[in-house]
Amino acid sequence: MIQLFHVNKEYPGDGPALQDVTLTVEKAEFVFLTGPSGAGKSTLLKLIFCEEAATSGQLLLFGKNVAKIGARAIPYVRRNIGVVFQDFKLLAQRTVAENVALPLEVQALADKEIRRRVKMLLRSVGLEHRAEKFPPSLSGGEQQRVAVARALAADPALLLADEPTGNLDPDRTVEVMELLASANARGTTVVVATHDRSLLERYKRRTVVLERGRLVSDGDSIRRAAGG
Amino acid sequence: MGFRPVYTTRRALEAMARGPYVALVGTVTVFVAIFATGLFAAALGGAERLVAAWAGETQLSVYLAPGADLPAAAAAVAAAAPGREVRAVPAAEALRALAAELGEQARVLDGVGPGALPDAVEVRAPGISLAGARALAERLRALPGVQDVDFGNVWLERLERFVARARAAAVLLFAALAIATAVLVSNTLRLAVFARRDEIEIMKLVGATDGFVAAPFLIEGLLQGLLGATLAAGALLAVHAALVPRLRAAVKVAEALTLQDTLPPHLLAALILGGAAVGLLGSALSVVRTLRRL
Repeated sequence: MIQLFHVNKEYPGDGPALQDVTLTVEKAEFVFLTGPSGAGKSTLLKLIFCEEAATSGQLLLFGKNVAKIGARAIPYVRRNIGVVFQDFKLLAQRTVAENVALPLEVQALADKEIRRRVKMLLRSVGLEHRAEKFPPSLSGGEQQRVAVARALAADPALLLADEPTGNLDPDRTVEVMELLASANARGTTVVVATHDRSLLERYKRRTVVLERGRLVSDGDSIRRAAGG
Repeated sequence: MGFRPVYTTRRALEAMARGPYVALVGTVTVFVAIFATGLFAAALGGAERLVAAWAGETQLSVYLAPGADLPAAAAAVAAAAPGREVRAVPAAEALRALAAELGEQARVLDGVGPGALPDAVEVRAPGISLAGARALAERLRALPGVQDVDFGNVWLERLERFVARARAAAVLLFAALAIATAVLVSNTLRLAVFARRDEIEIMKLVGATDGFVAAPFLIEGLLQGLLGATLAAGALLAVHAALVPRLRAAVKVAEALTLQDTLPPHLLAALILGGAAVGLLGSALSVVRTLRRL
């Protein structure tokens, strides 16, 4: 699903954000990406999401070299990727239902089909009764659940979540993590960037650790080493 | 994925309803620009019509040398000015006409004999241009027995100069207005695009193509341009309806002034289409610049 080979990322006038990162994420895996602030977690997600390009190295997404994907094709790649942000990135002037419908409108689905899927998605995140509300009137947990529903709306093969529980209390954190876990159980590959150690301890999943842009530990490798 | 006009127009209308202030500013900007342009064009059209009406009264007077044969000169003048109304005016008739014109002050002519004024031939030349009048005068001056030709060239030259200057000013003003309008509309719509940069960013995050993001903004620009220009055309018609009757009452030559002279259908159509085009162009410039940055 995702393959990185010796990937480096540098910002002009800044130090390296990622250094020699080699990593493979298989289809239907659930991976935590962790490390302290500034470790390069968000940068790595931006590379996977085609928001930025690697300075060197190769990144393969769905078997395709991202460097060779033209600018015009990037929107179509993104339709296979759902993204959940720490700050939700919901449109304040659109209702909850309209926010969730956005990825479906982009894909030109029929209005009737969009309504059906939005209703189903909102039911799955427990917000069917809030469909006509506007995001600012919702709690942080509710807003993040809307963001998860939007990320899952187009039934993406890959779900990226950047600190999805960063602004939530423990109860709301559990709610959001359960949604991500259930998406993974349905076959979606999930990559969650977080620096919340309690999440890693509670959900025993493969954990990739970044520090100062370098991959310093990969739970998958550790498990393999322990098993071998 | 192809362009979906109904969906895109619906999104554009929803966006305008959500941000009516920005939509209003865009519409008003186009309105002001198109109204100013249309007002000037209508004034120029009206002025040209009035000048043509004045020119319709142009008359050339061919004064004959003493002893010249009036009927022969009139025949020569008629041959030199084909299609024009030619009338021989003997000196005695000219004197009577002058006396009638002077009215009570005609006494000043007491003792003035018919020989004081030359025989003349009058040529009516309605609608003639200054250049045409000059050329005709030269031809008439060359005829045998002709002493002088007068065609009121001083006022006609002034009128011609005024119209020529107004035309030159119109070209400059139209160019300046077109540039100013495009810049104003572009900047106003850029505010609209900037105010919704979050929406654009999120659209792109969920896989929207540039075309999908830009289309509603283009429709918004087109609608604002169309609405502003149509309102401007309506306002211009209202100004015509209010001013022209008063002008007709005040100035005799304005009696012939019609809507066809000031705001002909092709001018109104050009203003409305021009407003729509400016709205579309301004919107396209703004949204392309914003998309490049995201």
